[in-house]
Amino acid sequence: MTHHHHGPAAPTQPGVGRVALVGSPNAGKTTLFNGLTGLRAKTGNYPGVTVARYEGAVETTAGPVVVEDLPGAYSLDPISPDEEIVAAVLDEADSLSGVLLVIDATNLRRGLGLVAQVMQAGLPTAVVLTFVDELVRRGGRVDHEALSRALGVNVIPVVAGERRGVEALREVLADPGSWDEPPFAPPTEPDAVTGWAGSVLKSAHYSQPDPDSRTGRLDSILLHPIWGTVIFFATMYLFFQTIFVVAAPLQGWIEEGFAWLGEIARTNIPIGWLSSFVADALIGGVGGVLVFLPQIALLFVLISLLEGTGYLSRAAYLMDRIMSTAGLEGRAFVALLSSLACAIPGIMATRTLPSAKDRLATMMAAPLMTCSARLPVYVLLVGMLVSPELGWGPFRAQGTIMFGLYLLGAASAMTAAWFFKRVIGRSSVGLPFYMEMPSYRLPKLKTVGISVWDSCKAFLRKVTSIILLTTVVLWTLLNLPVRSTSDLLEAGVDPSDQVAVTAYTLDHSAAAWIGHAVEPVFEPLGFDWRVNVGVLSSLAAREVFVSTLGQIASASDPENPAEALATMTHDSGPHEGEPVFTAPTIAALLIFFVYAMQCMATLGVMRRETGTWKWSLIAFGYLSVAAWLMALLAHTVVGLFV
Amino acid sequence: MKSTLHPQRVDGEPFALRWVAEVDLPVGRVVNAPGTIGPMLEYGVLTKVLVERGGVWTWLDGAQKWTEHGPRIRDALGVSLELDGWEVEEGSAELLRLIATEVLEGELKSYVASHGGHITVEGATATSLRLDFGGACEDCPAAGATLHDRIEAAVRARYPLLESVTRVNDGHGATSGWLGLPVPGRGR
Repeated sequence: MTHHHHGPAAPTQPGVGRVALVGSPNAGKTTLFNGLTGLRAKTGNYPGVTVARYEGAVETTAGPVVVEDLPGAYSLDPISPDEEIVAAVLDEADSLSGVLLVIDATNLRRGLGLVAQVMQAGLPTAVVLTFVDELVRRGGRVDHEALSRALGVNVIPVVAGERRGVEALREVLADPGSWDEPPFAPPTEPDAVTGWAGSVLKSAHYSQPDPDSRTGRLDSILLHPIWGTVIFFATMYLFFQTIFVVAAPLQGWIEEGFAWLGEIARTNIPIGWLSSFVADALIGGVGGVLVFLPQIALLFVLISLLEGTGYLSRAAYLMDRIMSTAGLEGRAFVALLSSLACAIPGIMATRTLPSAKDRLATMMAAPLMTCSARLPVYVLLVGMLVSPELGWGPFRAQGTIMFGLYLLGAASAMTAAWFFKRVIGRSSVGLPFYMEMPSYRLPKLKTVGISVWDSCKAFLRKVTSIILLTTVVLWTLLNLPVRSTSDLLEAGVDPSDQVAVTAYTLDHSAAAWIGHAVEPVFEPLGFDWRVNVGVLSSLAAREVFVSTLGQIASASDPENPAEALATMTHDSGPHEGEPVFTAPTIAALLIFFVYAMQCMATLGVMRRETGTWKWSLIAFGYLSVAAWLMALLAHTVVGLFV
Repeated sequence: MKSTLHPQRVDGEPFALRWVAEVDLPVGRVVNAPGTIGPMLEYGVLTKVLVERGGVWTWLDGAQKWTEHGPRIRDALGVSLELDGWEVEEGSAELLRLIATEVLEGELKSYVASHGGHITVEGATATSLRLDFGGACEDCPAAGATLHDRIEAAVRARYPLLESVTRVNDGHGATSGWLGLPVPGRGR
């Protein structure tokens, strides 16, 4: 992984040619990139933005050339942050030796608009024509040689799954300096561009493909106002069933593995505090979060499958109708959809919204969408709430509750957007919402694999940075102040009874003091001081809740931390002796996590995107209040039934 | 202004550009043009302008650059083509040769190559064309005739004054058999 701090296009290897891949989303750019670079791609970030940056070396006849896969862009007008990056990279033309434009042959007319813009940069340019096979299958036509003459640049057709085109490209990449050069750049004024593109298409004997009959038939059902919506919700329901049913055994194995490691650490590390640090903080805490890697991986497998087949765009289209009842447009849904992975790209995607008011309303709603950081917390708590056996046939109660939580998050996001839209005021003009409906395609296994791998890497990075750091801080707070033998004797604890010592240290630690201090706030929700510590620590990142409870549980019963957690009782106050994790309390916790704004990174991005802390504070304030009130409601309602 | 046109380079002539556009003027050399193209021709920015069916050929003064003048000429041509007042000297051997070369090196190149040959323009008048078939299709008179017809049709579509296309031998041996005979033109 490389981080570039010196501008968007700083070359990684001086003296080596550098070619940028530019193309619209769905043009097959990433597939081509993977085909060219294999798995030798490196990921990094653009300075100041969290849009991933990919580059990889391609072996050509003239030695290696670095190819950079720029984010998908329909045009170079910087409407979205992605397009801003592409424009910025092409602006720094000096660092590039050429541009490969990836254009979807089934959508050539619109692609030429991008060609015209990119050619303004004056860099050696070549066009890679993708989906030519699909164009022909759907009765369309293009003469790529005539297209090359009309554009004045090399045009290389590639067919998915065929090595030939990729090999031809490898040859072309060897020397961008020798590429055909147009006499001068195409026009820039929109009408003139339309005329230019029309003339080029005519010269290339281009005929549009028929609407894809397969896609048409599928869309007549999947985009149907009633059936489409029913299918959408059924798909989502299956989605969450899968996460529980498929990932559970994997998770079990990892859990056993960590329990085994913890045992080894406890028995083999002679120094008491170090043994506790390794076993409780590292293995019990951080390991407790790592256990959820299968769920995270599966979530992204499913998301990238839905995206790769083209179904996600349909979901956005269906949701556009529902969004409009909240007074928001489809673009806002795209932003909210991104928030399913993480609220940060979601908030950044609001940059596509032309209205500042819509943008703020969407930003306020984005943290309510169930991001992947909530997944470990939900899995842990839902697992404690209902047994995995409960269910009917293949449908498990756990997956159903999970689906309900995602639904609640989405519904709350809509409500929040609607509310903020009202408060902030109506936007003056609604610009037309344009979204591409790509043809249904079989997703490329490699593309899915890479996307899942990247997400897992990001999760692991988070676990080894913020989560590890917070866990270490918490371990310290949970074990301080250090108790001397005389302290213990004074308190009536036998210093040789390890369990009793740990329990005493924990119960009188700095963390316990903090947990007790906030008791008045969380007492109505049924939380005890340990849960309070977990909730407070999760302000840094939601997963820390899991690692904190993991630490406490593994300190109180090293043999069986899961059991310790489930049977944990209130150790003081009016409920002393009663179990902590009752159904009403777990429900309250789950609902608390649906609403609470427990992500400092999101608040930071809000500040950056709005230019003021005001909206970060408003989001934090309203979400904290909502979390508390809704959790109280859940506690009360579930309490009535138990 | 919405003009449907785009420029294409001309092989071997860096100062020439062929503008593919909707043009329905008599084919030949432009003596005078309306709009800004007129003065450009008059003051020598453009040294020569030829018109074909569906295109305009322009030659830039050797001291100028396309990157500098290209966009201006594009805009000017877009406007001028909408206007009346074009004066064209009908018929041009040079234009016919250029079109024929372009057809052979461009749209029909891979077709000709698939017949195992390389065809070049041997000579041209304002109404006739002589081609050197360079060994293409010697063994296959039928395919040869098809090829011949396709070339003739492609050139005539852009140069309606074309009356006849004849073949000369590829040079190894005398004009023998029907290959050397002029093919009757199908001029209008």
